[in-house]
Amino acid sequence: MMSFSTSDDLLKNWCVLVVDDEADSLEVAQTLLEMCGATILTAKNGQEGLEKAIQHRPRFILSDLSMPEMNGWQLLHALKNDVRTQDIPVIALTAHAMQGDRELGRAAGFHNYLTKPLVPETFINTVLTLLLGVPSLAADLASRKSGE
Amino acid sequence: MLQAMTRSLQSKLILALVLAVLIPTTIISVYTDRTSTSLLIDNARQEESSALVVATSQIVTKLGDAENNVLFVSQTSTTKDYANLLSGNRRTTDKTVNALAEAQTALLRSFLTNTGGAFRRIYVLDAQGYLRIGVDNEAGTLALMVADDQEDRAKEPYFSEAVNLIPGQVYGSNVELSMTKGHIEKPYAPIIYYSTPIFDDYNNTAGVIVSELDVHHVFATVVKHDLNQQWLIVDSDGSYVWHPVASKLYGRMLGHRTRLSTDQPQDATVIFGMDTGDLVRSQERPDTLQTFTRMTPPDQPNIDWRLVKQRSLHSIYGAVSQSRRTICVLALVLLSVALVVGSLLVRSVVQPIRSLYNTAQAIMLGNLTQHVEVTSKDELGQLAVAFNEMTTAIQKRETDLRQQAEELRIATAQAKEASRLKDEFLAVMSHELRTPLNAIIGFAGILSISKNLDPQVLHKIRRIRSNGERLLTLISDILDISRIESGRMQLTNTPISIRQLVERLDAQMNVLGEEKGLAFKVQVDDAVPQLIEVDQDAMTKITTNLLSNAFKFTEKGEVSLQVLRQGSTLVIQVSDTCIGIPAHMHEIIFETFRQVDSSSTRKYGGSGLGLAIVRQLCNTMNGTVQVSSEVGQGSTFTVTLPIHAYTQLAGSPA
Repeated sequence: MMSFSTSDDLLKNWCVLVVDDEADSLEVAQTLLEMCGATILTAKNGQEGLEKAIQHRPRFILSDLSMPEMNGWQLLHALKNDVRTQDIPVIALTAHAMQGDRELGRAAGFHNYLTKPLVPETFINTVLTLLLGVPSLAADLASRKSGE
Repeated sequence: MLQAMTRSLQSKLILALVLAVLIPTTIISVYTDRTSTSLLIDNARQEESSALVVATSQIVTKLGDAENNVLFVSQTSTTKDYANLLSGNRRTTDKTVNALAEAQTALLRSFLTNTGGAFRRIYVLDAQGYLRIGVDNEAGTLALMVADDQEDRAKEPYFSEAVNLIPGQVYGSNVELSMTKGHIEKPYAPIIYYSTPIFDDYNNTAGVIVSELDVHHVFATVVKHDLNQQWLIVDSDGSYVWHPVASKLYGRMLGHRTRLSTDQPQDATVIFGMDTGDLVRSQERPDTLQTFTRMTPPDQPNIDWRLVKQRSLHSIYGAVSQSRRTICVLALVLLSVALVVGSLLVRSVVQPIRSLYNTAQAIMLGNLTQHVEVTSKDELGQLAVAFNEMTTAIQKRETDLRQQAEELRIATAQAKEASRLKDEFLAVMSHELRTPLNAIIGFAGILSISKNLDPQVLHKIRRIRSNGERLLTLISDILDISRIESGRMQLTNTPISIRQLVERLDAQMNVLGEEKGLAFKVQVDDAVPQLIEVDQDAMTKITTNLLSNAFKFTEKGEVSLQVLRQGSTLVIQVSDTCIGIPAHMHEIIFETFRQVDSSSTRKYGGSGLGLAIVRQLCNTMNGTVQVSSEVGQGSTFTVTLPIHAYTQLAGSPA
């Protein structure tokens, strides 16, 4: 089974956008990603996230769903409708964990759907494993993975 | 449809009425007919035989009278004188021959006159059989017979038989046809000869006095024909002496062959076979009552007749036919009355029924306000009243039902709304609880993987972390139990590998075991199929919950997981060496929010939902879960699930 060893340079040179209106949640995700060497952009709502995504074109986006002004669904819709951002994988990270929510998310176009609370020890590994399915990232990720 | 129904009912009732009239009428008329017919026949037989007796005696009397009358004439002094004259004796008289002849002629004339036309002729023959003097009654006019008639009568029986008789005796012939100059007179004149000898003073036979009795005269008043009856007088040889048809008469004298035995051979045998009797509806006279008797007048050996009276049955049944006609007329009148009354009656029955039918149709189409008009107080009226009451009751019931349906609809809508609100509340609560838990678990996790942390601080951070996780489990359990109990847990069967599932659990649970120093044994039987069609989440949840409980409640010893196959069921057994569960708690532990001991809630954390979820999931999957345990002996939880081996890939490596 492939896995990534969480080292401080695992995501070196990677720019990741985290969108969440809740400051604590935003910080947990941001901290975990930064511990692996990633550069983090944060946004407090979908609108802000969309602007930063267009401007910085991050490798991938972690987005909450329930947010003021522009929620995660609307953000996804906007990103997919923009040529500049339509290739960026968006992973939902949400406290909506009722039966059926995951399927709705996948159907809407999220690359994948993770529920809060996240598991700190395995979070990075889980995210990167999910991203292996993205062709544009696959090669880069393959060079960073370790172990079988 | 309605038309046909009423027509049929109407015709049925009217037919019944007609039958009710016709059947008794017919029975009465047939019965009356039978009884009166036999009565009438009996009466008629008596009547007829009386009539025969009367007729016979009248004829016999007349014949006897005729005999006596002739005898009387022969014994008068005038005749005596004439006899002396014929004998040539002149002893007692000084009268001339002419005077004697005249006196005798006067006597004979008075005889014919005094006997009222019963005799056609009377004459005196001398001892040689020559006519000496006679009077003829030609159609009521008396004429002297031609005295010079030299016809030889000596061989005629009325002479030859009479001439030898002693005084007081009379010869009577059978019926003969009157003769003139040796020829039968026409029209035929049937007669009976009565003759007796006359004697002179010396008692010598001086001649014979002969009379010819007019048979018509005898019979005419006694045996009259009419439309309904006819008389036959039959001679001993069967020829007719008396018959309504002239051509059939006098077979013997005229030499033709008409006889009773040629007309009615069978009847003739009967009639000649007995002296008196009757024939009812004989084969030869089917519509006739024939009464007959033999007639033999005393001292007249030449006469042996049969009197036959034939009476048409029609005349006898006249009265019956009359009553038959009366009954027919009566039946027709009754029939008309029955039809009229019946039609009125039927209309009074059918009309309300039709009205009921129309109303029933209207009610069927939903018009419950329609009522039947009540026109009478009889059974149909009562039916109409009952019908109306029924309609009202139905109307009320329908109103009630509508109201209940509306209440039910509202209640259902409210329940649905309540359920929706509950779901929404659970979703919101889940979201709102998970958000802070994300921060708690997240930050605790981040801190615990930081380097250079004081071990005591690290320990406390882990406590924060594990409490957070307990909270998370509680939330999941509450959501699960809520979903299962509301029946909205949807199971999706996919082929999964039990062995892989067990491997993952082994890895997870080993961590728990190591923390508490417990051994963990896992065994999957070879008979268990590689792939099984089952809901993965449910399967994982069941096994995880059982194992978590086992690890939670076991202080020392071991926990084991065993997966077996028993026929078409999959058996999952989780055994531990815990403090055990008292028997009376074996059922209760599967109920929601229950633990063995409320005090243990403190000792062993947990919501008490784990086993309830296991049982509910097992039920949903058509399986069972049972526990066997004794206090101090540990416990074993056994789950049995119907197995659905994924056959396509069975046998491929897991």
